[in-house]
Amino acid sequence: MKPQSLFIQLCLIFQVCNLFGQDSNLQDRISLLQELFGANGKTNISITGLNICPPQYTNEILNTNLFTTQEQKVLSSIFLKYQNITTNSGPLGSVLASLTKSNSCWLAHFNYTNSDSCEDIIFGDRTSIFCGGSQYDSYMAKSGGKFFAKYRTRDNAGYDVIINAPDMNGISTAFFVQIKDGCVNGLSVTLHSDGRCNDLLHFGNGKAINRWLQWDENSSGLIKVKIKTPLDYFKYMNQEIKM
Amino acid sequence: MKKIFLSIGLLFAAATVFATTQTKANQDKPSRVFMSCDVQNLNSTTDHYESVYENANGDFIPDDDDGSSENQTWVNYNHVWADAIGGAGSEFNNWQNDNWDWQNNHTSTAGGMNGNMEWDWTGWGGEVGDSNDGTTITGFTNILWIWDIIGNEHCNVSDPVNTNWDNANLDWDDDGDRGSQHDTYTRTADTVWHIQTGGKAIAGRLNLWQFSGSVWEITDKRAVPQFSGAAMREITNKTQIAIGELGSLKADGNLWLTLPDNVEKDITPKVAGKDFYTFNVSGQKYKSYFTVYVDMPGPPPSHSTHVGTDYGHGWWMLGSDASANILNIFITTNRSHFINEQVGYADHGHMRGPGVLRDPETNTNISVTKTYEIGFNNLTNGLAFTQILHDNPGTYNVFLNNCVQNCVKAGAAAGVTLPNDTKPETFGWDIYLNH
Repeated sequence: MKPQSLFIQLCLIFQVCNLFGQDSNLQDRISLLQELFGANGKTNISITGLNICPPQYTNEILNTNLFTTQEQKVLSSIFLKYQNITTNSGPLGSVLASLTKSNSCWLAHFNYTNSDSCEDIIFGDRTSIFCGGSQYDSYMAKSGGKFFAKYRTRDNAGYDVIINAPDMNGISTAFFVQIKDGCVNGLSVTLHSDGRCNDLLHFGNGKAINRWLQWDENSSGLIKVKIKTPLDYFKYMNQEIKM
Repeated sequence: MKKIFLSIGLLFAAATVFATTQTKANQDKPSRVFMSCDVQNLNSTTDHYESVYENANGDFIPDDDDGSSENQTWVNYNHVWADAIGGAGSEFNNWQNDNWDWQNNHTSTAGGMNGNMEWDWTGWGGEVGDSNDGTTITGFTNILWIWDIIGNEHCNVSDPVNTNWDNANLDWDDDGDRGSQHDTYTRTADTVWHIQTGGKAIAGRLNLWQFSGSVWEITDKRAVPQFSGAAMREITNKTQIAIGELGSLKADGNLWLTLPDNVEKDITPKVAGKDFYTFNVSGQKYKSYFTVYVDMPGPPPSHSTHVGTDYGHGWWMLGSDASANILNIFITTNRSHFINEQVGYADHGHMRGPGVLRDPETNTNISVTKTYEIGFNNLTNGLAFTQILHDNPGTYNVFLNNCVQNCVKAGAAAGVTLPNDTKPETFGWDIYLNH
């Protein structure tokens, strides 16, 4: 082997090691997932970290590999739909049906004029609204945010969404969950008003299924959590932790 | 093969040299306000002529043949001082006096000096030079105090005298003589003050500076440093005083602004329309800081990521050398409120829940802490982030929006790149080892 070739090969080995080495933040988050999901970290879920997010997983609402056209339409309209919401002014096409004060929150009920759909919008502490005792109720009661909206069609489908106030860059964050048959079914997404999303799960009958994708705001990495059997996501997320 | 080892050796050598250079480039430089240079030039001539009316008998009658007397002098002084304290300067002075008495006898004297001066940072120094009396040159060594020579002034004056008198003009003549005086006097001087802002030249970083100054107009045109006894009046309207290239003082006598690190600026006080004045000027830099704190479940040397459900915590503080009164000039009180106060993002004890900015932070178990010097613009951005997070804390999420991640965001807003971690244990170790 020529010396020059040996030198080039040494350089290549260094490069390859670099590529295969996992970003420290990904390692950190993966180990936290494993620790906090306890036994499921070893049995029910398997976690993969990628330093560079593949193009098909790009965390944009307009990514057709992640969202159907119908889902894109709903997600893209969220921030626009709720940008001017007040206790007596609901989304476009709706009229205020009732406004009640319950303990520390206001509940505004709106009916849509061109359909049987309706929408509850809650401002303030939601503890008294989500008092059903389910893990999901407990999860939503503790979700923070500027306000909560609960959109339902006549057949009890729709979505729940929590919208946070803008950060210093003017970007808002929303937590969106699809509802069918009265429980969480379909998408669960944390999305930003600039069209990006932070995490994506799919639910079936209130439990997380298939995969859970997490992106990092400060790097180009991706974490893929493969869910082998339906995961009681809300139960885990309601765990107590001091951090 | 030898070539390979040589190449690898050279690579290591190059890397070492680069590392050394970087260390030097990253060293902080002190800031200072200093006199940069001083130049003075004086040129004057006098021509004093008298004709005498006295006759041979001593009677004071008009007579044009009993002679006249004339006295002429000239002075040229030049002084250049540069390179600030610890610098060097030079001066020279030449003068000559010629006298013709009424019998037209001529006498002449002359003299001068050349000197080279050096001062240290205390203002004391020495001058080595030579002086002459027109014929003999004598060397000398003097101990000098810089402020005996330099007047902190701007001077651009001309004070000519052109007058004639006779026995009718008793202001100039009290014994019946007739004469004239023709003088020239021009003096220019400029003392220049600069600041060096110190620190490191970090792109985009600006620090807060306070400048103040006073100016006294000198109405005695022939005054020279130290201006003892010279007639002066203070410029009381501070807005007339410009601080070099930086702008005019405000009515309260202060000029507040932000300047980048590692630059030098002229801060010589200037007053438009005034030809002769002396001044003083001062400047103060106010530094800003970002401090990060980590409560590690397993402080070094441990690597325990949690103790039971306790995963530790991370939080931050934005600090400034400037008092709240000063900061309130630039920052609204709902933001300056967070200055020098530890704050941290948390929830109420669950993996996900309503976020809250603890104000002040209640965790006092500090395993690792590190303070970073930041710019004033970074401070205001960091305070903006903190206030907005306080007012709209959103939803805490242990994976996506936790205490460490908000420390990283607060740091980023304040221009500090912190380790992009998720768990306090890792965060603490990364700060402990690498930052």
